[in-house]
Amino acid sequence: MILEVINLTKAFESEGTKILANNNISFKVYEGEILGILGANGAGKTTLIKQIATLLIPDSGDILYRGTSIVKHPEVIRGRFSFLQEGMRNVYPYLTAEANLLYFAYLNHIPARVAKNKSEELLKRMGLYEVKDNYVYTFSSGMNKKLAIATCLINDPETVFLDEPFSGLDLIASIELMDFLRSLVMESGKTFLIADHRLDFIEKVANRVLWIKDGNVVMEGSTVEMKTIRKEKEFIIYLQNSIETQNALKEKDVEFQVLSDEVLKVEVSLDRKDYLSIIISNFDVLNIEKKELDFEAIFKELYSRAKNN
Amino acid sequence: MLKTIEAEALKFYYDVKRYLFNYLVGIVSTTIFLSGIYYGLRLLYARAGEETAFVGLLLWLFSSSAISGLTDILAEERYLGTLERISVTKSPFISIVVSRLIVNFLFGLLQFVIIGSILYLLFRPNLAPLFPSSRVFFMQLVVAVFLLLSLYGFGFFIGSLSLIFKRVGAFSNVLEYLILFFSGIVIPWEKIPFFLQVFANFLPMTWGIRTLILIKMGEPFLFSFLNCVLYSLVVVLVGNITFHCAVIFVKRKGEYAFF
Repeated sequence: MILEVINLTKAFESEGTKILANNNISFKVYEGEILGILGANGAGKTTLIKQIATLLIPDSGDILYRGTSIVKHPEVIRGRFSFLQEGMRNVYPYLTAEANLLYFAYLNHIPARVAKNKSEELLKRMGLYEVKDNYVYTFSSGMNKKLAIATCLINDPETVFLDEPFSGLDLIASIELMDFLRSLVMESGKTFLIADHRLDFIEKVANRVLWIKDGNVVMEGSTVEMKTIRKEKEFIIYLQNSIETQNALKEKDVEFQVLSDEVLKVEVSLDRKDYLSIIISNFDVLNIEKKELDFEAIFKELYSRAKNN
Repeated sequence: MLKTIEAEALKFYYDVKRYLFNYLVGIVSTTIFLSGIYYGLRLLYARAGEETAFVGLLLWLFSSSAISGLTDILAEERYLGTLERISVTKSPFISIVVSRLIVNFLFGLLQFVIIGSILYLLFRPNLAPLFPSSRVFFMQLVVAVFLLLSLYGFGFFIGSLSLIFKRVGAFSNVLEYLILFFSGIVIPWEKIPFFLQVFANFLPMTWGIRTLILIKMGEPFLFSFLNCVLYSLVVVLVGNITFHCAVIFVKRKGEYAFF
């Protein structure tokens, strides 16, 4: 185990009102694991990440890094992790791409020659080598983000914290960065803590997910479960409602929902071709839709399953 | 620490490269400003001596980078959003800011030499009384070191306060001018009202300038010198403690990187 968060609580005061950002949060992170921290905006993800990054002091609780409290000894973790904060403000706009990397390398006490080699290697990997002498303020947001990620890797950290890595990016840049990050995270073998509300991304890269809502960890689970739910509920088929159809569906053990006197709704996965063919050939199909499951829907499903179990 | 200084030197190099014109214009404007004041001083006062005024004004040059040094560093890092990024590197945050102040000081030294040379060529002041013997020269050098330490320590204290009170930074310029006018460089100390004399004792250059004047005049300077040393040590200590407390305070409140 590389990291253990124990009963972490953090509240902020805003205009006389106390806002509980993290409420008694506990979880563990294992070496080489990719932990996704999912939650809507304002759920408490950034507060949690910043406390682990020693940028915020918790009100109570502890954070152990390889068994040592980083609340009491923040110096223990310094230089052994990197932190990418949300938004585009991670690098110096008036430094060149290479100078930014060298600056962060020197701050991490990396010798000049090693820093130079490492920065060239990272610039090539990020596809920024051709523009290494350009000032960062001339970069697109996607390039800026890639450079920021490179500065996170220059010190070869044990653990990387990524806070909303896609914030501030347009759709195309997000897609590009998502593919890039996915291969990077998978290949590096480092421990990653990724806070985001992008379910699709977390699902693809993380081994395990921590669900945060209103400052509480409401669920901890594997991404395999999430993928299963997504597959199970891939298609929505609308059928003409009738007593016969309802009875027939019940006979075949197919779950359905009555939407109106006219319409029945059946959710089905592409994997269950048997269901699909039975439904399509035997019933009066009104419409078929591909369902995009959002954060809330998967969360609700996981939650109800956990409750039932 | 050396690696951190190297990092800051690299950053400063790019800063100067990008804003070279602004730096050059800054040196020209400071030279004009100091020339005017020095010329006026030579006409008005003879007591402090033109040579002490000359050195005092050049030492005051450091007050700008010293007093607003930490405040500017924090404001810039907060504005760019990089404060939290650099705070999690292997270099402790205090060593980053001290390294940056050292680099700024070295640049200030360069300014000191350039502007000092220009002023010397313009006014040809008689600096001989400053060097009657190597012992006196050495003593003045020691005083100058403690004077600069007082300036930077004071700036560190102000900067640390700006971590909590964001508006403190706005008063940096006010302090610079108070130091210029009430430290004994421009207005002789005994000619300012009593309450301002008391106030001046708390300014970072006062005891240093007073000691320099006493040494040059061959008068007893031990009390003044000890005050200068004590002042510098106290502000460095208080600045350091304030800095650590302020960092903990803002990290608790969640306002560490607030701009």
